Amino acid sequence: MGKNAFKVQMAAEGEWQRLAFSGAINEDAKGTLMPFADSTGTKVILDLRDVTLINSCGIRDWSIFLRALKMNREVVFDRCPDEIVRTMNMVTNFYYRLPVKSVYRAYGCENCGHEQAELLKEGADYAAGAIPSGKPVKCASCGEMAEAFEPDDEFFQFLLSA
Amino acid sequence: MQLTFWGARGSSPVVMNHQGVLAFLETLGAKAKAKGLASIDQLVAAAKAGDLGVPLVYGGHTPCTEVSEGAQSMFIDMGTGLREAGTKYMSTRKEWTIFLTHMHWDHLQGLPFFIPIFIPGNKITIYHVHKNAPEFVRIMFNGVNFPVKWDQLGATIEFKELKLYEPVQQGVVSVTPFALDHPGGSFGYRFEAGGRSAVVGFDGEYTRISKEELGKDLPFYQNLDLLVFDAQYELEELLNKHDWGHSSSTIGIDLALRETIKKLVLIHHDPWASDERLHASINNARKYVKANLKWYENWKDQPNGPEVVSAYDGLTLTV
Repeated sequence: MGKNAFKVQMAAEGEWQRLAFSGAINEDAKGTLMPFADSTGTKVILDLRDVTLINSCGIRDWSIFLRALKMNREVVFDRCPDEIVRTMNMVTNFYYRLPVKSVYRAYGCENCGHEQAELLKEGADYAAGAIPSGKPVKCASCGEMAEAFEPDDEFFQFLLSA
Repeated sequence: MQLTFWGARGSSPVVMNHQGVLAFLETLGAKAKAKGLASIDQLVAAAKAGDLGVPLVYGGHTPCTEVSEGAQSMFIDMGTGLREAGTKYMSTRKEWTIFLTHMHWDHLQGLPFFIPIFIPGNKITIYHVHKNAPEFVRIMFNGVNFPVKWDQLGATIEFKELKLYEPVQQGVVSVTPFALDHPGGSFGYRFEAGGRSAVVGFDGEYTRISKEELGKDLPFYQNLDLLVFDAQYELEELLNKHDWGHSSSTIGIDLALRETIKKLVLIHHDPWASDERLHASINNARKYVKANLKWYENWKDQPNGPEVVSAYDGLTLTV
């Protein structure tokens, strides 16, 4: 699987524990994923920045993992790539309406074709319960205005069920 | 090899009542209007040509799938679809072969209304993996649940127990049972003939799906032309129905993408799913193939990926 091999790294952040996931969340991830449902503290950050792909088998296992993890724990999502945001928008039980602290949103520049991902943060860029108007983003390559690939009302759908 | 789907619903038969027909006519009328059709004749012609969508409805019989190769014909399960098959073939056939996946009611309930069992001289062979299958089939004919008793049936009915993973030959067709994930146990069958292969893989939740988890069952999904897959639920529903024994279209697509299965047939439709929802479901399944194909190098010579179709009562496919 190379760079797609699924890994989890656990690190303490004050009273929180950050679980940083990387690689593919697919049918091969189950064995690695499930032990973490029982081995964390009471406050957990799920950091999905380095997840490269997710398929339906992975969504199913993730949902079972998260259902167990969130019992008696405070759980938040952080640094979710757009692929993960799309999954949240399609499958509510992928995140069980838990708080999403930050997401990456993909932008493209019509002027030079450059593509980039911007980190958007809860509080500063969006809040649960409403679709925000997308903030203006400049192309990191040519400085012209970049456009989000997905419309605001599609990308931020997860906020309405949060 | 041909597969005919006599029953594509799971769990319970579905009927279209008066209100259902009215709703269907409204939908069909709107489609006809959008196409500028101006008469009933034009509407009928367009429907026959498939211009208003295929299928128009998915039907409501519970599982019965026919696999045939030349003159050899086998039925998988005895849901209410078997009644239709019996009526169609009763004047031309004396011998019938049935393979059972499991003992749940929706897979047996067609047998009492399968007319060939009442005809003296007919011979019916029922293959099964479950040890207690003969007992649970015969009990339907106890005179209480159905008025005709087992020993009053005209046909000779023989049970033959199969061993898991051991093939049985039916003419030129090799049939091998394997294990599925379903409460009480369920068994799929792989059919092979003339270099072609098809797997009937219902009822199954496919909780074991990685190569490692599938173990001895993995080869049944490899070098495969067609997989009939239990897709009763949408993925979101599946997450709330863990251990109910049924799966979802996109789980089947993950499997097909990984194992290079050429065609995936979605079946065991939820009885609560409307035709409109099933139309949407197959469209979403095809979108899922497109979105995920990029991750699988094994499809580079077949850039469209696996073909995904949704079974409906009366559909025939050639493998």
